[in-house]
Amino acid sequence: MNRTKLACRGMSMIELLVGVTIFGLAMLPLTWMGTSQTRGAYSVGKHMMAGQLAASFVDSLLGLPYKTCLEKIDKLSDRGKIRVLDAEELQNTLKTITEAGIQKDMETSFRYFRCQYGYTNNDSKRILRLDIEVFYRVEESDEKSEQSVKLSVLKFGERNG
Amino acid sequence: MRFQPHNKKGNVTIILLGLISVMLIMVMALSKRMTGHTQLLTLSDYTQITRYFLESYAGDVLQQINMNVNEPDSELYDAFRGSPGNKKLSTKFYDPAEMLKRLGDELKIELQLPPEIVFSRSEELGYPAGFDCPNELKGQEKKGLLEIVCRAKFHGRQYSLRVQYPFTVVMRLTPVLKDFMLFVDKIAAEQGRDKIGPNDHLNIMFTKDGKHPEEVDNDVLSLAGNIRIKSGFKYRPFILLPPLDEKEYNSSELSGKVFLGPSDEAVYLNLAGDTREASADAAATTSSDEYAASVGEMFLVSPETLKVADSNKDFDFVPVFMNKSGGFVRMIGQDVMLKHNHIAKLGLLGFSNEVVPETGEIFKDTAYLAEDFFNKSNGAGEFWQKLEGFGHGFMAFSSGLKLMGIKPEVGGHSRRQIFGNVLGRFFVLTFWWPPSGGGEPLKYDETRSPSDFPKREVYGSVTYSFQPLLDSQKYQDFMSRMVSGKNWNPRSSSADSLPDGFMPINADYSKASKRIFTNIDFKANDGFAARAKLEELGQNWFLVENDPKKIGRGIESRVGKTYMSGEEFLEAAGVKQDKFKVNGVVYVKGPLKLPPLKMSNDKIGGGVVLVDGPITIDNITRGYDIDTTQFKLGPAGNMLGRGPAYDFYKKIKTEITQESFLTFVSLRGDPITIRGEALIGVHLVCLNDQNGVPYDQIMWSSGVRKEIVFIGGIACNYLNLPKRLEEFGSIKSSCNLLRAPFFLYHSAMAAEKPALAVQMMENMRGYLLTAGKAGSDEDE
Repeated sequence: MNRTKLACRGMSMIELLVGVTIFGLAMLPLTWMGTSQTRGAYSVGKHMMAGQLAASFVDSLLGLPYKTCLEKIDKLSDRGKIRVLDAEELQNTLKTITEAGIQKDMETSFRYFRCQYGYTNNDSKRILRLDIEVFYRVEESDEKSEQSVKLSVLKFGERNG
Repeated sequence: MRFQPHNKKGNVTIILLGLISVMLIMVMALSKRMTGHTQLLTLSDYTQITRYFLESYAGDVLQQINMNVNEPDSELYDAFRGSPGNKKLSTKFYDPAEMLKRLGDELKIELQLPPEIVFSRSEELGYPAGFDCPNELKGQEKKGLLEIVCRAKFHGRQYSLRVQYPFTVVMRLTPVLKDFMLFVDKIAAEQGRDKIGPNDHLNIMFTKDGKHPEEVDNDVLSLAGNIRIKSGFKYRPFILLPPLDEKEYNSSELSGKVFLGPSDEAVYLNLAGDTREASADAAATTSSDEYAASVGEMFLVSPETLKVADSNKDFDFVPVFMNKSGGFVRMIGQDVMLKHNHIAKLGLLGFSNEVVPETGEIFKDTAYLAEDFFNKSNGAGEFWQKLEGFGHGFMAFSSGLKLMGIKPEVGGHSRRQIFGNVLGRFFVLTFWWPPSGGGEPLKYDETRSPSDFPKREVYGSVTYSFQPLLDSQKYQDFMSRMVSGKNWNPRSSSADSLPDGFMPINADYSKASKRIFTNIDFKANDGFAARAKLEELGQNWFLVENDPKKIGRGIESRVGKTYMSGEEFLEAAGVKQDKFKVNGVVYVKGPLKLPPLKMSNDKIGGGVVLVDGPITIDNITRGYDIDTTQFKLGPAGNMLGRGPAYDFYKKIKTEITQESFLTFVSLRGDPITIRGEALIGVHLVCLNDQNGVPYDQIMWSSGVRKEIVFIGGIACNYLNLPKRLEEFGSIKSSCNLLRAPFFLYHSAMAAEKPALAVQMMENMRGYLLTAGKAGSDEDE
């Protein structure tokens, strides 16, 4: 009677342990995948933001007259890697945002974004190559996880003939 | 019921396996999703990188089009100037820039050549009111779109960028205005309401013995109260030289027209007098002879100006009346035959010191006073009455502006057309010499009966009477007077019905008579006609609409490029590369400070520079080695046909074309300051009156120390002539023949076929970026 009762209660301890272990082992990659996906999604977001930032910096420089653009990128390139929050364009955007919450969110989002400007100028042909690289951290706390997006474009100075 | 332990064990395993399978499926799904994200991200990156690369490619194509399209020997030059349709353009001119190739190599993007260039739209540019464009030129000025397609391969995908750039094809010079050597549409305001006396700022050039002494005699100055010029200052005249080339000299189209406006006001220019005998002006035999050309302008008066003069005979120096010592007072004029072989002496006098009764030679030691000829008080003519009030000293001052240049040595003056109500003012002294001797002046008297001619009784028995050859001739046709001696109001009668007694400073060669030219008479060499008052044409062309939705049909619709500073413009024009390429109509947010332009003509791309602000212009010498101190008229006897100036003009006549002609426009009427002594091939325009009263619009800086040479045209509202003559006076002249700045028109401005410039604009339209698998057509 007791044996029958025991048998009716279910699995043995060993069976349970084995089951839990297998389940646990199976859950590990899933958990890793979940974490990895979250991190991936976060990283994709950052990457896209970096791309957008780089494109907006490029467009803003392309919109300037040739000489002004050259002077500006010359100054910017001397500054090395700078915080994007210190970039004039982004500061101007932040100034236009009146809602403190959004402003704070943006400041938080771009906290670890940096950018670096480079250029090559052919004065006689009035062709200016602009290189803009925007850096972001995949893991905010880890400096070594820094990735970047780089865009290059040629700007042509006006030559009336 | 029996318990079966074996079956339960199997269930757990199945559940676990199922669970693991579900988890594996989930892992795979998540993994696939992540890969998809990564792929999308990569594609987005590639697209962005390629987009900038293709934009660079299109920019490179555009820059090279800009470099070639205005070069007369390029394929593009003709393509844009012909009828565009939707034709494809040759891309032979295109060679990718090294920097573009390097960028492609670095990014591993494969540049696909050649690009595709095609005209996608084109329409004719209109003209503002009053500009009558000839049919053969219609459609030559146009605007349109040029489509550029650039392709590149990147990571197995083919990307293509299709963009459209607007372009315009415009004339390099301003139609109608360019045909004027001098266009001053409000100069009448510089003469005041009286048109003579202290407020007359046009007739201020002291004249004596056929010359313009630099400084005015103090005794004359004291007789011309409040005249605008200052004692102790030097003044030189503004002489518009006639063309040096014979063909241009005889062409009304090529000799550079003049307009003095506005069309509803009269402008009186005192013709400079010269009582020197013809022999004084005879050509010297060698070039080293001391010789000074007469500045007298009586050569502008032809016999047909005076009704009673014989138009078959030229004027000559004739004795008109006698002085107390029995000598004759001689002057240019004509003996007019009367009935019974009587003679009326017509003497012509320009404005000069010799005519001033108090200081001159004409009335000195004679039995006659000026009033014996011109009458006095209410009986005198309008301007003579005013002169008597203001002071006879004003009779010594002739026009500071000489529209027909200096007296030609042989033949008549150039066929330059003068537009506007520009009237020449001078004196006619008529003296009747009856056979008995003695004689008497024919005094000015408008109220006298037209048939009431003088009579003279001799010895109480014989009566001689003044009988004109024709019965239709009136006393007033003969009497002494000041020609153009009344303030005529053009508003009250049309230019065609100018009353008797006025002389337009103009010659209608087809009709061999002098008459006023209005816009109706204007016909440019390129066929443009003027269908509105000339001053309105200037305003209409340079009108800038205040309403941003409206665009003026004149210069505003032709602006190809805008520069936010003078420096930016100079950089784009290539000054650093020793070039000056305008090539179209450009707007510059001023001020504009132009450096010396010493580059040769082929490095100058002609066009119109509209400056919103003051302009400072230095020398424009176009690679010619010009020493303006050597820039003189030819040796005596060959003033217009030989000499350094003639040689120089002959050279530049063909070398400077409209392709390199430069126009600088002060858009808002700010001053244009000239800091260089030599401006060759330039049109200066300042037609936006800021003040409503005369002010300095185009001026020469005090820094100009050498002789001025200006070849081109000037268009402005005011000259502010006294200041200009003072500026000229501060510069020494080494030329004996012409002690004045050297102003010449360049016939290229009046070329039969106007030169066109193509302007490509950078603002892209119709932007379309597509991507597809390499080898196939675009699918996105």
